[in-house]
Amino acid sequence: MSTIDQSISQSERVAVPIWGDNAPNIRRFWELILSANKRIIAQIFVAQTIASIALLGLPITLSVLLKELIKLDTSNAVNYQKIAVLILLFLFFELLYFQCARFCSKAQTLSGTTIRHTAMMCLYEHLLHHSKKFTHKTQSGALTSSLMEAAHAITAGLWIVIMDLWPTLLITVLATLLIFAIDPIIGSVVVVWCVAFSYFTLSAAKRRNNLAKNASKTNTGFVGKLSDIISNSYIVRSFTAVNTERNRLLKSYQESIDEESHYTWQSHKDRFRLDASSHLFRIIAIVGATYWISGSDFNIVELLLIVLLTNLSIRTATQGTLKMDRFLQINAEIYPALDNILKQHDIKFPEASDISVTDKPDLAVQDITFSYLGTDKTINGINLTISYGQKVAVVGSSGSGKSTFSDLLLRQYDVGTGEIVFGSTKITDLPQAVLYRLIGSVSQSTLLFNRSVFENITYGQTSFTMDDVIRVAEQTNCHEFIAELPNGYETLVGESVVAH
Amino acid sequence: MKRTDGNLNFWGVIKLLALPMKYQIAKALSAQITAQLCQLGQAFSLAWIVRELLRFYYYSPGSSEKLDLSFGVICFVLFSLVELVSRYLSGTFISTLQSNIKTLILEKSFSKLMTHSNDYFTSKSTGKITSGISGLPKEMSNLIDIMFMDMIPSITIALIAAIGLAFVSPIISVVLLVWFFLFQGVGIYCAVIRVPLHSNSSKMRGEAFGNIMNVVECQQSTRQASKVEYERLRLGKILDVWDRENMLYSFSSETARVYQSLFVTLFKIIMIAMLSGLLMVGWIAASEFFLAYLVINIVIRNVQSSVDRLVDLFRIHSRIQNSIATIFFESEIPNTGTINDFSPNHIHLQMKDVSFTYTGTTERLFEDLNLAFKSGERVAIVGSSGSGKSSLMKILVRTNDVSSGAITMNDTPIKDLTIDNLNTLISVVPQNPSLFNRTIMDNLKIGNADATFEDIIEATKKANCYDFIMSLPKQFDNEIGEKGSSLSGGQAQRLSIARALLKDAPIMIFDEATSSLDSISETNIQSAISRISKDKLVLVISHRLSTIKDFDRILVMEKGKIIEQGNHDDLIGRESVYHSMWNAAV
Repeated sequence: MSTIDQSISQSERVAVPIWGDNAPNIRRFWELILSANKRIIAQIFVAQTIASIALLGLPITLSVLLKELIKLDTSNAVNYQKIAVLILLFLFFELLYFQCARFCSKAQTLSGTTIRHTAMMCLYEHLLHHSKKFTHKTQSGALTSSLMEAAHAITAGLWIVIMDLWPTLLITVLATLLIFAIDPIIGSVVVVWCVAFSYFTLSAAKRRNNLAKNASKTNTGFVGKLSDIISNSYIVRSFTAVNTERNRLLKSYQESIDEESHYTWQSHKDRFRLDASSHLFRIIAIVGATYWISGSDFNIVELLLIVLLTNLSIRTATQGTLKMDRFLQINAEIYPALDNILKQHDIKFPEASDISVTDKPDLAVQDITFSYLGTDKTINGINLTISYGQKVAVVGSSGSGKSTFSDLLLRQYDVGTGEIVFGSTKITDLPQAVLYRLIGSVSQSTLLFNRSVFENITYGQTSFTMDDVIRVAEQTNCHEFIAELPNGYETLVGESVVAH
Repeated sequence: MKRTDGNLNFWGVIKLLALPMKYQIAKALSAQITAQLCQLGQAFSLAWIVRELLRFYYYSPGSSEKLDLSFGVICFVLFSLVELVSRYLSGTFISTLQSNIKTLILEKSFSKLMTHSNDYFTSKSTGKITSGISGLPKEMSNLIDIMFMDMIPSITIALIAAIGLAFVSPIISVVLLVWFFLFQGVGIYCAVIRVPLHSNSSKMRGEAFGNIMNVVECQQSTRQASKVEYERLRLGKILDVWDRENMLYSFSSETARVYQSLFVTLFKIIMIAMLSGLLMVGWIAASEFFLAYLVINIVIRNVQSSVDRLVDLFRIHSRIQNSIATIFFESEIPNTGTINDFSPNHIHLQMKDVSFTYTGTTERLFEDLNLAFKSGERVAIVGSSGSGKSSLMKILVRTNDVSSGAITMNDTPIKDLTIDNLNTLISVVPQNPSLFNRTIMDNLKIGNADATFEDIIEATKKANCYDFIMSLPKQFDNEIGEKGSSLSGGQAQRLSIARALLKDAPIMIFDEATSSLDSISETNIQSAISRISKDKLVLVISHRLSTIKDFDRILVMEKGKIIEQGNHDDLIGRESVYHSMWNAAV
């Protein structure tokens, strides 16, 4: 337990990276994540290198060992000492590999959590600053799953690079070099094959990328539709539309599966090509080597080494390429997810500045226009001045622009033309915190947090006591019903509450 | 607890899915097993080649026999090619199986979900339910992947290899088998003890998901209260708990993995030492040493990767179980009614001695409530908030069930009707419009999928929303955003009323359905309601007394009791609660 607490407190020390002035994009996201965790990544890199070398030492030791043993079998002069040393060497390589692998997976466990944590916070921060214009267009369920997926995928992607791609590359190269040293012809065949193989597989994977993107996009769309139906589940049942909705949902899911199966089918075909080429190659290499060696001076060590090393390099090359493929796929999955979140903020608030606004500013609205879609003007030339202390009511039939007007005052949207001025400062010059300190608002749709009543009322201010809260509740006429709730002020309100 | 069809556990669901798919499963299985057999066949062929080579060069050099490797080479090539083909086939079979299962499970789980009560949906966050439902097909497909690509191949290969090696040396075969079972056993044990750790961690994941989604929904409030930083810290804390649970789990996996690889390493070393020894005492030949090494390597590779995935298997299993537990259980509102063609022209609705308590609370909201309504009546229900008006509606439409007593329609208890039948009789306009993120047309058609365009225009005109729809850029084809967010509150309510009008049910309930409307629109809608409701039963909950003045009957509720009843003139004519409410409002 104590190690865990320790590691958590360590992980907390990794500061949440900040986007800075640069436009948020996926590349920048990678940079942020990498730079926040560079030390542990370097350590794993080294450990993986040692492990790969140990893994390569095994077949070499084994071949030499077998040669000694055959001597014994054919009752030539036997060197028992050498056999013992070789078995010990084999043991050493095994243990070395084991230790390194152990270190790596431990490091991965520790920092994997940290990396995911950083990634999530990074995205969350950005997400919370989006305007109403943005949130209107996107479903919160889809956004949330994008965020979770992106954070998960970036961690997975990073691990594939360090834990899989690097060692497989190293092993393939070293094994090929060894084969080359034994027999240059077989060696060069292996080299040619490895290069050609990875080239073709990766270019196929790249082509598949678009398919993967589509698949992930339709899946996100499907999840959005599902969550829409679930949040309106009452209507579905009350209008006896369960069957219609199920068919609708299944249709949308079928689309998502179809997109996905375009991808899986393509990758299945690619996988077959890959399998076929590695099988054929192995047949050629092994059969070739057999005849080659059986025709010349036969050397059992060389034959074994070639068989074992070819097997090893083919296996690692295949694995590595598959992992690379997976990596590209993850990247393709991250892409739309991040793309959803990492939009430039529509409404840019200035950074905190020395602009000071009087505590009691007058409000001046000068000839503002606004339209949602660029066609009909929802707000068409409002001019008015409200001095501090006035109580003003805005009335009108629904759809006349009352709510839009208040959204403009809250800078949920920016005006098309004209100015809104508080005191002597334009609304666009006010930092976010200053603007929202000036305005408190109660909106028509009562969106509450799924937290306790107490938390919903105090919302983030820790300084309020229960007495303060009760006083406010009494003023707004809700103390009575809260007091009657099962847990009083500690009752959880549920999601987007529609209380009885 | 009594098991019924509604309660399904993991195996129940698997059975539900596997039965219709049995041929596909068999095909995939046989292709996989063939591939495994061929893999071993290759090792045997290679060893045969080595044996011939050794015999020729080492043991009987200079013999007159010619070196002929063609048998081994042909076998190797054949095995290799057959393996390739069966891998291709098994891949095809498995992915077809996966996509079929995915659709099937989604269909089943969605149908089940929709039988649950309103309380279920309000008590769980949309995000949680959504991720439960959308995760289930994914996990099922992962389960198939693990079973067919790892578990089954590893078990078959170990058994076949053991049988094959028994011909070479029974000792090796026995050691291999002992190791295999020990290793699997330890692997399963390690995985099982980690399951609770993992479910804690995934619970926290759901928590984090729900929290993020909730904040994203309420994000405007967060920004306006300048609480972005606060929310960030808050999520940070939630993530810390998740991280902690996750690490507890990961550390235990870590330890398990260490022991497992130690197991493998020791096994390899023992095997090499043992093979060397056997070779030295002359019990096996060099080619058999080589064969055993190749086979053992193949087995280790397969078994190790399958034991690595045991964790995934249990993880997926617990995730599927969680999803199943959130979805596949008996609905709180049992749909045990059998009557599904109840559609009388004239309805006489009665509540007899109804008592009602919300689940989880102790206080009785209604006690021995008796009421009667009939078609053609327009009834308004008024009262302060919390007086039980909405609850009265809830027990009528069975989003909650009465604790005792009965609600009947023409003397048929509504419990004897199927829920669908009951719902066709009642059209509800809830206070919260609850619109879909689709086009206006799609939203209206929820009311009646067969409605003609003329019907729709008529309904929207009655609900006073035709004009605003026509003013939108794409009119009826306009998308309205999540929960109708691009509409004003009044617009959303009018759409929701139009939707209910299209349904044309004999009982109509308006639960503060016009609270967001300006008084002119409200009056228009009220007159439309009066016009359509000649032969219908209309129940209206309203705060604005002016709009219900002309109703046939007004019920005044307080603390779950009907304290006054009568029409406006009756009630206003005497000293009544209604009278004082009226005075306060006007």
